[in-house]
Amino acid sequence: MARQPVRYRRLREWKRSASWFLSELRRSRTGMFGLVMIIVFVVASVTFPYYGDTEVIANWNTNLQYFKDKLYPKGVPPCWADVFSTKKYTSSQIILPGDINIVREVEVVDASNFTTNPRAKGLNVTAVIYRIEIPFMVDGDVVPKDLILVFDNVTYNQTKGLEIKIGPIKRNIPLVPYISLFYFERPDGAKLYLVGKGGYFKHKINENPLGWPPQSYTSNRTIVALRSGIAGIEGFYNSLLASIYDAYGVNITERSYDAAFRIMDIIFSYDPVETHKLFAGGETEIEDVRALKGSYKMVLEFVIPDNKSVISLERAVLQASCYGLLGTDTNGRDIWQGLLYGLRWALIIGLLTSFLSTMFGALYGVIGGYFGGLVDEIMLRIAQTIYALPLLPFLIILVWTFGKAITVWWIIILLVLFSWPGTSFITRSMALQLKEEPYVEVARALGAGHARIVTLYIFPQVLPYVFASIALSVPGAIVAEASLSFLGLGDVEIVTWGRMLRDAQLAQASLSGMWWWIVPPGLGIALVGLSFVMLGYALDAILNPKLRR
Amino acid sequence: MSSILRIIVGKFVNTLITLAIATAIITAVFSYQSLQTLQLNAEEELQAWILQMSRQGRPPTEEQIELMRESLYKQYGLDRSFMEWTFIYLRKLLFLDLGNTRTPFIGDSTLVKDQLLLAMKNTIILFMTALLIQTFIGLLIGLYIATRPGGLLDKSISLYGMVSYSLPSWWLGILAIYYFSFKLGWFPSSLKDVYFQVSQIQATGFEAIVEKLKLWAYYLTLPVSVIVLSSIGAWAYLVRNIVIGVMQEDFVTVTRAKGIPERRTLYGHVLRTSSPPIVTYIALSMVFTLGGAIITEAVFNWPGMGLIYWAALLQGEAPLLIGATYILTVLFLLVYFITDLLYALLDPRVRLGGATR
Repeated sequence: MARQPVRYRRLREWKRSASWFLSELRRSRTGMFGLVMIIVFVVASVTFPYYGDTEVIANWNTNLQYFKDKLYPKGVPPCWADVFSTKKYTSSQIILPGDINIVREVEVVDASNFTTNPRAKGLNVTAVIYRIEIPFMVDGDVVPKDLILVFDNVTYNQTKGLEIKIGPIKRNIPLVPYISLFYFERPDGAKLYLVGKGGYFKHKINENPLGWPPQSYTSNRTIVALRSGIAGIEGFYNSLLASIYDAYGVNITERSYDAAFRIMDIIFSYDPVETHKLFAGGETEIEDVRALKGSYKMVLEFVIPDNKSVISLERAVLQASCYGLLGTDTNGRDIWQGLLYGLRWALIIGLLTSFLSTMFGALYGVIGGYFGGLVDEIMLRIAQTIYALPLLPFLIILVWTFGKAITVWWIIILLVLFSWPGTSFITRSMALQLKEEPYVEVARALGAGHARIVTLYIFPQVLPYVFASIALSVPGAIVAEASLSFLGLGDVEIVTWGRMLRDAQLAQASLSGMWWWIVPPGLGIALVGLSFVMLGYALDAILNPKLRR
Repeated sequence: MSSILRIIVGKFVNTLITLAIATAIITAVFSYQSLQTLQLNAEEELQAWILQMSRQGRPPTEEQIELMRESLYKQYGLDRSFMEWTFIYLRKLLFLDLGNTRTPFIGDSTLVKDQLLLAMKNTIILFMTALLIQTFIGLLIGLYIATRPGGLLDKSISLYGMVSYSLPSWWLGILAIYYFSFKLGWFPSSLKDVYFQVSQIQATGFEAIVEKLKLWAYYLTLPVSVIVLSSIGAWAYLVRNIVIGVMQEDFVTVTRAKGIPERRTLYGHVLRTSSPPIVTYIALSMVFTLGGAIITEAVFNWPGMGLIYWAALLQGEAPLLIGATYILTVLFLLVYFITDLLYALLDPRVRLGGATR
């Protein structure tokens, strides 16, 4: 038989040992589980651009405005979370211009409505009254997150104002628009007023509750979110209580600061009187309020002192009380996307750190053990010194010294710098034994140099241990990076699970019961770590039969 | 006896060298940070001076600015060399003379030293409690599964060990706070006011002691459980492995053959022989959990080192960070040293002058 070139023989040996290894691994159930999970993780993280939302990730840390503009509901649970509950989430609804009724009327109005200046009294202004009527459906038992008006064109010239004469001097009094009517019509027929004619609250100028009507500017896209816009406005609250009395005949005497901040919840609730009592009584979660299902109508009427003004509505959005697979955080970021993308960085950090530190440690130990004597003594002392330093405190002060300039690559380097000695102790003692083996002696007698002996004859012998060790030290690296990120010492540019947990902690997610924000990232860390540990143990048992207990 | 003395001296010198290197690193970071802060302050004062002069209608020339800068730098001590500063900061670090923080994070004093010592005390209280419980339960479980290897409990403990090894313990803390503090309301979510609550107890005598114990249990149950839960799996598995290793040795077969009851074999002979590695691992695991679990403390708002780190990082209090790291390092090395000594004293092979390792 003709001798094959060495290269091909090597390849065949590799193939044989790989198939042997796989057949051994197949016997270990946990090992197979770990391997399959790791393959799934790697595939999932590599193919993220094909199924994930890269735009969400690109804006995650730097541009929170994106999530506002895209109208993500803030801090809502995942949509499957109502499976075990009798209360179903309200789904989101987009109301298009075809269903929205906008009435524009030009009318002459007394100027004193637009300014507090006493001289304006009795002067006429040609103003435009806009009346927006939006019908929508609440189809769940949980109060919708928000009702948002998206205006695509708001043009209004405020600088013109009202010109008056005081003696010889001409002066310009700025005129400010105001809300003349604002109410919600509920499915049970009740009209709950926030601004109204008659006994209700008359909207004062110089108060701009919704951020609307606009006090100035022209803009082609304006977003008005009603929940925060009406929260805590005393006039709205008074008006609401008065209209509750008119509609239900119940006079609410107990006034509550908390209730004033949850006007939206009261308007949508099954029984506004009971809900108000609940809020006034103390802390309640949004899930405690049962919404009244059915069709609602919102009417908002405002007066703008400029007859050339143009206002048009692109759409209105009733935000659902749930979002996607894993809900959103308090900034409206989609947690499912963050979780998927965090996987990528967890794998990169875990694998790179453990690979570099284990390889370096292994080589370091082998060199020390092989040369022995003073070299070994010094190298061992250095390794022991680093090993004895408390890892996390040292990482903290070093990363903190970098300040904002820290990148994830520096963090990996620092992690490697502090975590290699563990491996080196083991490979050192292995090298101490291996260098006495006859084949090493033969190699030396044949004139092989130190470098050749270390890299080609001794190092390959410790590789099985190194492979298992790499897998086993992945979780440690991931947890260490997550810990740094949690302390605010991570790379500010990237999305990691540790960072998500830090955001959750700073936003007091556990206090507000946002389990969908605190559970997934930690579970991700645990699952990735567990897969590597399982594979590591299986590798250890197969490749190092001597160490088997 | 001389050999054991030699071992002790050798270990002591080792520890000292490590401490010296660690101190050098910490000092370097400290002086680098402090000098930057000083320079920033000096530049700020210079800008303020320039602004003030311009307001008075006498904008300073380039030369004047340079002169002023020089005198300011001298005033701040920035003309000294880096080495000089390093020695100054080294002395400060060694005596924990680290100045004041803007507000007290722990206790009533703004002195960094007082806060660090108080934090250290609290950390030790929490960790000693957790360690005692963990050691006891871990030994029991480990010994139990060592006598029944391959059983259901053995398998579940090893799986549990793997799981708890791969998740951050502070995350367990967050979950525990979410569920037991906020959802069920059984335990406090923030432990910062524990001393205040203790001082509020009115009762006297025996009743006061009962009340105090109740209060401490109320405050400590959650963090201690989290720390114990996060490390008990790996720890029990370790005890199991050590004990199984010892049980395969010949002398155990002999004791069994002599007819000594299994219980006495296990607790009298096997446990005695396994004690040196077990004690070493207890001490080492203390060191490692302490390193990782400072974040658990921060999550629980326990007034220990973890809270110091969390607050100092949020507020940018450099001396507090540096001091905390220094104290933790000293503590680490102390524990290492004691562990080594214990190992030497417990293992007769080392004690009677065998190999050092």
